[in-house]
Amino acid sequence: MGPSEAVPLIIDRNAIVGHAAVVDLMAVLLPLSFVLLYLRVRGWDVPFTPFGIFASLFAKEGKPGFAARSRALLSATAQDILFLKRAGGRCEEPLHTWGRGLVMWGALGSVAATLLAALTDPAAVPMALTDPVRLLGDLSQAALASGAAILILRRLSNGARRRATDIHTWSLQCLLLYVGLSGVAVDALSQGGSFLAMEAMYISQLASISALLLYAPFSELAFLVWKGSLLVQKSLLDEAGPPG
Amino acid sequence: MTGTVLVVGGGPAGLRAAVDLADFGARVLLVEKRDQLGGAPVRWKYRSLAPDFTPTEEVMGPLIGFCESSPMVEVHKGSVVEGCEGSVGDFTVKVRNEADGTTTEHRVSSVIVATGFEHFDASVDPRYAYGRAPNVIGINELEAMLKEGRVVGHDGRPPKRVAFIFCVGSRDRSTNPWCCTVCCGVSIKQAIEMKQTLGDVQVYMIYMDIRTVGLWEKLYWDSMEKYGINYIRGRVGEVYYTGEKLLVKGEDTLVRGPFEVLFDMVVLAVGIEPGPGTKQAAGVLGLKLNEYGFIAPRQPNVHVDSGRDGIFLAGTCIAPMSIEETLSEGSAAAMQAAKVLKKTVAV
Amino acid sequence: MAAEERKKEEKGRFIAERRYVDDQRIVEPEKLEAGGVDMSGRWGTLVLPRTIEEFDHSLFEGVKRLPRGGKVGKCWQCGNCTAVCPVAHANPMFNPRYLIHIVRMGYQAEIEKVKDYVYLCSGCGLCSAACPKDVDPQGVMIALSIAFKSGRAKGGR
Ligand SMILES: Cc1cc2nc3c(=O)[nH]c(=O)nc-3n(C[C@H](O)[C@H](O)[C@H](O)COP(=O)(O)OP(=O)(O)OC[C@H]3O[C@@H](n4cnc5c(N)ncnc54)[C@H](O)[C@@H]3O)c2cc1C
Ligand code: SF4
Ligand code: SF4
Repeated sequence: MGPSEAVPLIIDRNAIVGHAAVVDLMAVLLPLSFVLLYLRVRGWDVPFTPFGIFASLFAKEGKPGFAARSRALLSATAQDILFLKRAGGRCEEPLHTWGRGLVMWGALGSVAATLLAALTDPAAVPMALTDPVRLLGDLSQAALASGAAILILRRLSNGARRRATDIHTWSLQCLLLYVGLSGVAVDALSQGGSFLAMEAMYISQLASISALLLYAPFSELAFLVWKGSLLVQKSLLDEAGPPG
Repeated sequence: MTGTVLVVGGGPAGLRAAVDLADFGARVLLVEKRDQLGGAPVRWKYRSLAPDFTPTEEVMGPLIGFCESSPMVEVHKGSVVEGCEGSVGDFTVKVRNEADGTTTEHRVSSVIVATGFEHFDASVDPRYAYGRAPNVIGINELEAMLKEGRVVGHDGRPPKRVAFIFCVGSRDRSTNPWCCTVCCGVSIKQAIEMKQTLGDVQVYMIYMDIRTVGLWEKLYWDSMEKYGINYIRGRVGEVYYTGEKLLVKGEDTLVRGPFEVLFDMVVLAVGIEPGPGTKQAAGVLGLKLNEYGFIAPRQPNVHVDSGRDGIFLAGTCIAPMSIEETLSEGSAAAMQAAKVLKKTVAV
Repeated sequence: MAAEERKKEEKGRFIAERRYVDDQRIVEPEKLEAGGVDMSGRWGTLVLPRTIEEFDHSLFEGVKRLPRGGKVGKCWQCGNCTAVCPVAHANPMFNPRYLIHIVRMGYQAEIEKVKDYVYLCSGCGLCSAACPKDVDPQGVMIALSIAFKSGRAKGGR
């Protein structure tokens, strides 16, 4: 393959790992990950699970209707989660807030880019470098990687903090770092590396994403998702009144 | 001139001094007021010694055995020193046997005073209901229960919930202002032993500060980390017997919370104070007592030196201390007596 | 919302020297009847004493079994965690040392008062780095967040 031939990215590639196979893999892993998350949270024996938010959206009781509730949900999510207003807002360490923000925004951006790319015609590749979807994907993965790097370095740089860090925190952050880095690397290789190297990198990224999906329910992420949705639900109840 | 050393008091300090001197080749006259050698650890039947749970016999047994059997040590139990004339190198002392009233006279080269301590009598402080309510005991009494392996209340049932109250008769203007130095560690040791003996018991340590000095700190850590013993910072204002249980009133100062909680048993970490034996010996030997009633050394940093030539000090008659320190003080005093012997006899 | 506020303000309005008493300690049954006589309002108002009458470790035992709560029993209340915690410096209702102690001793009224603040923890981990006893207070805050919602932790055993 000559360097001038841009390689189609991430979704459509009739190469070693085909598009259909990736879709199938995710179709199995994503629901599995959610089920595991649900089971883990249930294992704590708490009445609230992240899925409870949707339940409160559809609750019949209470005055505000579904639309008002959805609006409240969106604004609460935006405030509490996306802009780190709740827990993160109290953090006095800008570096930490940035690290977490970058990881979250990066992860969300990557998911969005992947979905958008899947929706556009996979045959219409290669995507130009200037394609907005591809740009979004690249930037998101770079953000994910740099956010994870910040989180890791922040803990590494202080001896006491390094020693006090839980093994699950390390594993999770390293996994996030790898997902981001390998994504950027795949794209970079597509611009001029060897096809095989790019394929290998792509496969390793798929593997790391799969690992992340399977591991997340057992990592701190489960708690963060649970707590995040709990905070959102609290805002939701405050704004829209109790559902029942 | 004589090659004999008088040791007053047969506790850890006195025994250690006697054993060292006899080993060294000196004759020892050991005068013990009670009918039993061993001092507090034997009298109160300590089960084991802090900080390492060493069985008391392992430490005290060889010392007592040696003194009871060695031809170099003449033991006078149930006796006190009544008179002391002369000066360093040649004292004449009178030893009176309290049982039959007979008095014997001895010539000695020097004197080691190791008359030890008494436990604070908790009935002096009415807050703790000691002596009035059942199941309020001192750590000295608990030691014997632990040794027997039978920790029970007055009704014969093992307690489910026990409070240890620290600094009873210590660090208190109305009783004794000093710190007894060992009772934190000893109480914690006992709490652990209580957990080991009873298993199903909740233990609460009500403390102002935890003073497990030096390597004794490990007791404190283990008690929390391995045995789940609870700590409440505060001081108890009153113990009240409800007719069934003991209501302990205090404050948990960490939460600004007054509490009134029921317990099955209350153990008082009674402090160390100078006893009448120390006062008696100091009187006979012409030694100075400090403001608290302990014997005052010539210089507070040098415990062995009593201020009178030829009379040396060791152990808790000078200040509260642990057995590990007491034993070293006994050896240190023996060394001083040996120096006198070398000058006057052996050379 | 406004109704809620008013209700809160009016709580314990029959109590003389109302400002002496914590909200959490006022019990006002909505409806209280004794022998067919309506006793709600003034006569039903009850002020619980502040005195701690029981130590209850069941919640604490539950926390020990939750993820990252296992080392909480080592805490000796030195306050190093609170000293370095950015959230505690901003909000006095959030205090990791205090939370650990009231949960350990089961001071229910205190727990009710401050438990919702546990979710303010930013997860920065400064406390775990500072803790001299390897309690991992950051992890304990996670365990507490779950415990305060969990039936199992409350039920004990
Ligand atoms: C409850 C309790 C538990 C303790 N447990 C530990 C422990 O686990 N580990 C530890 O290191 N330390 C412990 N200690 C401290 C320990 O008991 C003392 O350090 C040690 O006993 C002091 O030894 P002593 O020889 O100075 O005095 P004592 O043991 O008091 O011995 C003095 C002896 O002198 C005799 N005597 C007194 N007056 C006269 C007199 N006028 N004439 C003749 N004889 C006299 C007394 O009868 C007594 O036999 C404990 C203390 C307490 C209160
Ligand atoms: S992890 Fe939570 S409790 Fe610990 S210092 Fe950070 S904000 Fe405070
Ligand atoms: S720093 Fe550790 S030991 Fe100290 S109060 Fe906080 S959790 Fe407890």
